[in-house]
Amino acid sequence: MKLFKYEAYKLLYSRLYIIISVILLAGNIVWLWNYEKKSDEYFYYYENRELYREYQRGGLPAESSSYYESEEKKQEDYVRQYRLFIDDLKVRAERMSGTGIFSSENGFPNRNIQKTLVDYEPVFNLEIKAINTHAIDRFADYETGVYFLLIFTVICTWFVMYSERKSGLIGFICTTENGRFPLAVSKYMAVLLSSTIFTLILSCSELLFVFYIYGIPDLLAPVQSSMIFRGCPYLMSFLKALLLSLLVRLCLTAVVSSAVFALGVMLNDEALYALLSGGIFVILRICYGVIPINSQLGILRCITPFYVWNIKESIGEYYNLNLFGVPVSKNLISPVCGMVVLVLAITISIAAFCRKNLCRRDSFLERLMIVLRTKAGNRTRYTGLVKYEIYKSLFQQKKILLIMALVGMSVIRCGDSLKEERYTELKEAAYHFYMNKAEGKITLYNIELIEEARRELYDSAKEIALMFESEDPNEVFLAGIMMENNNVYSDGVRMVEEQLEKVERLPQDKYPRYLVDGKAYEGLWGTPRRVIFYSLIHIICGVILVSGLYPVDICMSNIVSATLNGAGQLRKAKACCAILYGAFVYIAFSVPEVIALYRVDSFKCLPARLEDFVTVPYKPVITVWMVVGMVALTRMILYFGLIYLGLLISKIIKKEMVSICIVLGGIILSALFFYYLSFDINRFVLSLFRM
Amino acid sequence: MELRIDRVSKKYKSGKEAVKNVSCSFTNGVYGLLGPNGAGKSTLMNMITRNIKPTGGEISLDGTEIGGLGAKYRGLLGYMPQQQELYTEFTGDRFLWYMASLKGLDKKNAASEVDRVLDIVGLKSERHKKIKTYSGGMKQRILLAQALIGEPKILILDEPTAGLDPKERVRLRNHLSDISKGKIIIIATHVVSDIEYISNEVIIMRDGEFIRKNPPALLLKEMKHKVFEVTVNSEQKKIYEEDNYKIVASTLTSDGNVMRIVSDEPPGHGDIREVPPCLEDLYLYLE
Repeated sequence: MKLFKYEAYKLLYSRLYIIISVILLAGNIVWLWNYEKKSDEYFYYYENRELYREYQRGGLPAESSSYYESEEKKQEDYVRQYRLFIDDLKVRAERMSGTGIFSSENGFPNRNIQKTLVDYEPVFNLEIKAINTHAIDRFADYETGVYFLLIFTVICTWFVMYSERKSGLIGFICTTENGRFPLAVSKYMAVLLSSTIFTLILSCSELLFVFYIYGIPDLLAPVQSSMIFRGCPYLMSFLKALLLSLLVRLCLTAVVSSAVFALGVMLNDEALYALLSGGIFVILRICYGVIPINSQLGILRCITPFYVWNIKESIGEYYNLNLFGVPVSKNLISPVCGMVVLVLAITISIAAFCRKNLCRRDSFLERLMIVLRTKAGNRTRYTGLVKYEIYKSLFQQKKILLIMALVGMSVIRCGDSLKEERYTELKEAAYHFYMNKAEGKITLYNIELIEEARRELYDSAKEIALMFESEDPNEVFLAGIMMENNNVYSDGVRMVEEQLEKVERLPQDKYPRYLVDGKAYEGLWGTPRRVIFYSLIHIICGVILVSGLYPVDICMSNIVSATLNGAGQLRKAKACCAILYGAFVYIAFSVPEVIALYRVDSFKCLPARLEDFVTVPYKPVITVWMVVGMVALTRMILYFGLIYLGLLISKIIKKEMVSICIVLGGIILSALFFYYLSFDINRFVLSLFRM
Repeated sequence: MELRIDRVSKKYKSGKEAVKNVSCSFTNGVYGLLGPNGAGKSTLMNMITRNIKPTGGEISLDGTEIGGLGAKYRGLLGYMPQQQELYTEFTGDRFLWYMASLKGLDKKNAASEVDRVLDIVGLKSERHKKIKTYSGGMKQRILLAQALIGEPKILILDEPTAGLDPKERVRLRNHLSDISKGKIIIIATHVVSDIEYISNEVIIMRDGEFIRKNPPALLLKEMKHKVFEVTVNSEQKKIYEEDNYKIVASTLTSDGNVMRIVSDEPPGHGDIREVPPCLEDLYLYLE
């Protein structure tokens, strides 16, 4: 027990381990958030929650409530269909028994039918309810969490097994009295417990997140109330299903962490360990992705961690595998296989730990790198101090991970900027539809375009009126639908026409007037909290990047400062490196913003004046590009200023974490203040131009 | 070239006076700075390299205070501190290239210098390995190599042989002796044999003060008739230990215990022989 405590301490006191664990947990939530942002549910039930509440109170016009209505209708239809599905199950089973391949009593098909009937018996009389199950649906739909768990187990085992191999401690630790079996058990327990805690936090955070976004459903309702659990033969509530899924995930964690630990004990080469673990996971993922459950190899699918983790499939899907003619539930095979792997992994790992030479061997990757470095010779060497500062920062301080995270976030945000637009109102969608065609400098072309759209709608209205006079009820029904559509489009055109009229009423001077998609700009500039959030993240990353530039030399300061370039030139190199990092962070933030701006009107309306589309009085000369330019400039000054402040403080304090805390403390407090006020750089710049 | 230390002292904020009003002059040659741990050797080294500033006195090079010389002075320095912390993610080769850059060498000179110093410290075959995989001795050698880059005129080495095997120690000693012409080499150590044969002058430090400063021959002269070898039985050995004799070495042989003793007067028990002194005897004698 004492040894286990020391193993746990070693993990807890490893700063890098804690940081990686937190990054993985936070990364999972960010991933989930990003995944959710692409869903209809997120848009309609979270982003437009006020609208949804309004709908629930019955205060929405007919066209606005169409999505919520259709969803409700879908849910009610499902409740009816579920009853039919269950009733049909019995009828089909009776009909099929005794016919064709189902006639043989000892055959798998017949046994399977009989087993299915027995398994579904508990839910034959189940009454389900039409309720909001979005939170559970989305939780069940999200399956990426298992990747974070797999990565964590590999990293955790690395910390437990390879850090001591690297430092050479393992050599003499193993020669002590308790250095074999008791130590092996302690190390295994440390990996197991850490992974278990990780899974618990991971799953609970996912659950809390979806509950926060979509609200908590009726947890005592039968799990079959959700469409994704239609095939579930177990009589259980959502609460029980969630607890069961948590239990399943914890068991899966035990199996996976044991298997990974066994690999970690057996392989002295850390690169081989990482490669082999990754390779096995890839193969399992391929099995999960390629093999259908109802195929001959279906067993391979249902024993993969990806399948077991996914409660939509492990609980919501019903299937019996053919085991020598006997139907066996997939949910029996998975735990049995898991148990076998668990026992084997524990036995192998403990036995290997007790018998093997555990000392580190140079990894094959390192050996390969040495060969490559030897071949490259002096060609890849340089004498520029800036390059060395970047190298130290990226590799010595592992800031490359942060750079990768920033690039990843930027890519995700670019994807967000390019994602399909969703609108809460149909007329708004129609407005954007016409505005996309007509926006830009006001010329005869776009005026004609709007007039033509109006004419087309008018003609269409006449056609619809004729259809209403028809005696064919189908045609009348069709005419009703067409009229609804026509009205929506008319609303959109009317909004564009009104905007055009307003612009034409403005005093005409030598500068052209523009038809601008004002609502799109409102969306772009009117989300201060989003901008503050992302700005904060980027500035934090920038400060973390530069805060290590001086402290990295602490261990070498005596040597470095006694060299010719160890003072002024080195300071310049560090400042240059900080500027490069600042530029990188700024670009990482700005690229998605530029894409979002391009998405609005392909930069066609940059010369447009604000008064062309905004009712608030701004100085008449102020154009969109001036606002965009000023925002970019202000942001650049802010970014570089704060990042440079981080550098200066780290130069004075010479302790990375302390300087990060000081700078970030100030920045986060200010950001929270502005977040509370919903006041960002866009609004600040716009306020400068008000009359 | 003359490096002059003039009444230099260093008092830390804690009140501890690490170096007390010491003076000496270094011209071309090898200087050994001997002293136990905490004697003030490293503090003095750090003051010579301008890593810390003296609280009193002045260090000058050819009459100019080194602080005023700035980069010009640093350009003459090669410094190997007493440490093992390095950029662990660097390979030995990259680390030396970095040091060459800091010393202002261009790519061509850096390439030849890195090759040269790796050859001196015997790390050529390990140059492309990451420093984190180096043993203690290899780290020590890479530290020494960086100090040698650019053939500095003033070479300051703090415990250069710690962690080296006897063969490497001898090799390093010989190399330092070979390159000492036209250079000031100051070696701080508590391993007497490191400097016994190569130093022109030995300074012995204790509690922040220079207690001896002479060429080794003169120092040894001081010890003449003060070093004895006695063969004693276990009871006589006990007497020597209880009488607080300075015992340099004690070996158990078939004739009894053979002890090397440093004493102003010949010892009174056992079979006594006077033997030629070495620096280690002086070092212990002065403690």
